[in-house]
Amino acid sequence: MKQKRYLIPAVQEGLLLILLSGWLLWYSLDAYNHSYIKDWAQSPSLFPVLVACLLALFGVIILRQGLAVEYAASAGHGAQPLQALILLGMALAYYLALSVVKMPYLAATLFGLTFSVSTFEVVTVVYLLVMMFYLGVRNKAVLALVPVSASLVLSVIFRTMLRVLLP
Amino acid sequence: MAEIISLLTPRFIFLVFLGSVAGLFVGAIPGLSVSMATALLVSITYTWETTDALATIMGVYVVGVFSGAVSAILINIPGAPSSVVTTLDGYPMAKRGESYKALYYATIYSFIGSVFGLVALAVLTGPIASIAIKFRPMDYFLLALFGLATVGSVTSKNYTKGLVAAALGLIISMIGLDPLAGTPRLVFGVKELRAGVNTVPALVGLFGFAEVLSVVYSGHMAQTVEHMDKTRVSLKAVLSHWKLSLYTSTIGMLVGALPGAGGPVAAFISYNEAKRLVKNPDTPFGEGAVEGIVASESANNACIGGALIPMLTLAVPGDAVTAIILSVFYVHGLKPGPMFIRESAASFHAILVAGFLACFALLILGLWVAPKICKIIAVPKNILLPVVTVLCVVGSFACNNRLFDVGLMFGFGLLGFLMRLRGYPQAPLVLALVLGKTMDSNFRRAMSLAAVADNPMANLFGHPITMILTICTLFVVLGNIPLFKRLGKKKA
Repeated sequence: MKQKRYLIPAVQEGLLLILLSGWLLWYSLDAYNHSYIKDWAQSPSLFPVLVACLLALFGVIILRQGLAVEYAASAGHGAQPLQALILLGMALAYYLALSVVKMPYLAATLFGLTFSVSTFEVVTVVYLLVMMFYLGVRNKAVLALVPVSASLVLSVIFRTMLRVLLP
Repeated sequence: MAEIISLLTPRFIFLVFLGSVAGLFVGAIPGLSVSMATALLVSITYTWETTDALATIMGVYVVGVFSGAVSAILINIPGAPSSVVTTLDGYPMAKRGESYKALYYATIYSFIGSVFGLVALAVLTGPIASIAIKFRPMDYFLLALFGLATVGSVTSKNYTKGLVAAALGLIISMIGLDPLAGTPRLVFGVKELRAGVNTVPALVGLFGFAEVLSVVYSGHMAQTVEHMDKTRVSLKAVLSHWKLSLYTSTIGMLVGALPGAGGPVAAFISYNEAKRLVKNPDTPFGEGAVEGIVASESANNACIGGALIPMLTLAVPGDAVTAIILSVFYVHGLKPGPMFIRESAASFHAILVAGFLACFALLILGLWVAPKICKIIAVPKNILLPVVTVLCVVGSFACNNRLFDVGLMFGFGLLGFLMRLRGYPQAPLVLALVLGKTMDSNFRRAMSLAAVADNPMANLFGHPITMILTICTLFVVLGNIPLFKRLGKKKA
């Protein structure tokens, strides 16, 4: 059976590392030229230059390792890259919602505990619901209870008891 | 002695126990980790008293390392990296209907290992600090370099990948204002980056969110739990392996003291030693030999005390968790190093007392609570993972109250996920992130001193400690180069 040839991952990584080291070297030397500290022993650019040189060396080694391999291994059995990408997208949407959504802060005291509802609680409930549904939870009771209770428990523990500010 | 007794307040004991309970669940539930919990605690305990913060964190650390064995035995998934070896014999025992016996052995020998490591911490910290006081800037630089060289070799099959991870960590550590000149580096005009990259969002992202992405990517969401039997176990029979335990605890403590190495390395080495020493076990190794559990659990818990030794005396963390604990120290204004025992004796005693209290909490929780939590550790991942993500957001926001840190956390999570995908270890990156600024400033101090000396090379390398560290670093680096490995094998 013919093996499909890929650009070996190690070759990709090696090239990326060489590019990164080249950029870091250029950045450090440019910073040195614009700096008032011209003594290399005291220059803030010394350490970045050294790390850039080492990174270039490692990049070349990894590139060589990649070129020595005849074919690339395929992704693991059962791997779900699209699902991971969607999850990342949902997490970023959660982050944006926390930044953009502004809600008034509402608080109520019950049995000596203060329950507060603000941006964090509302956005978190929506996020947990969506993410759990996406990951395959279909039990309506779980979908209803877990996001609300998790959000409230976190709010009480962190905001009320530990006095840690929430987003 | 009076100081130690004064620490034993109900509040202190309660906080150690609270941390221990948290550590039990965090360590036992796959998907959560002691590193993640400790990283979250850095921001949660920010406004606490230092001793209170240390009490809680030591509880989480000591019991968290042990409780990885619970899921390792019951569901064949190690709750903590250091419990990987415990799955080799623990899970076969569970399948044979001896899960309680396996857990009993794991608890007793984790207790013995933890106590051994903490006794070593109490005894050895003073002498090592008196040597560390003679360290010069070049020695600190070489020690950190040795740590990075070592961790790169023990955490990855491909040594170069380990070093690449370390180099990436060094680059990230350079972001922000230069520690000596105060000029901005790699800031790109983003004012939030001027203070540098906070280690908490980086660690929470690398260990927390990256794990979420990895689990979803792998598609392995289901898990089954072995039934917990109620076999009676004789304590006398359990304690008959005390000699093996002391030997492997010594290995664990020494490996833990090595900057960059940690529980998984100690557990593997001890397991191999147990196989070498115990010629005729009742059950073969890998099929449910209790000696396998004795060796791995004694070693990975003895690592705790060992890892704290270089962290307290040299400010060089022994493993990822102590790297995070180092952040706690800086947040609370403590300065680990040769003078730590003298200047911050109260904090040193708090660590010791909290550690020993956590050992007793480990015993209680391991024998009575752990057997009952088998249903809880089987929380479906499609419920657990979203909650873990929210915890990561809370933890990364709490350290500086900035949403920018939450964004950083997601970025590091993506980086950590890609690193795992491509076989790059994360431990060297974490270590380099913590040590980077220290390495940079000490290296330039050493260069500046050498520049004005009569003989620069003698000034740099002419001292005994410097020579020893240089030789050790070269030994580790050259020992991992394939050419020298082949030469070594030919001679053998």
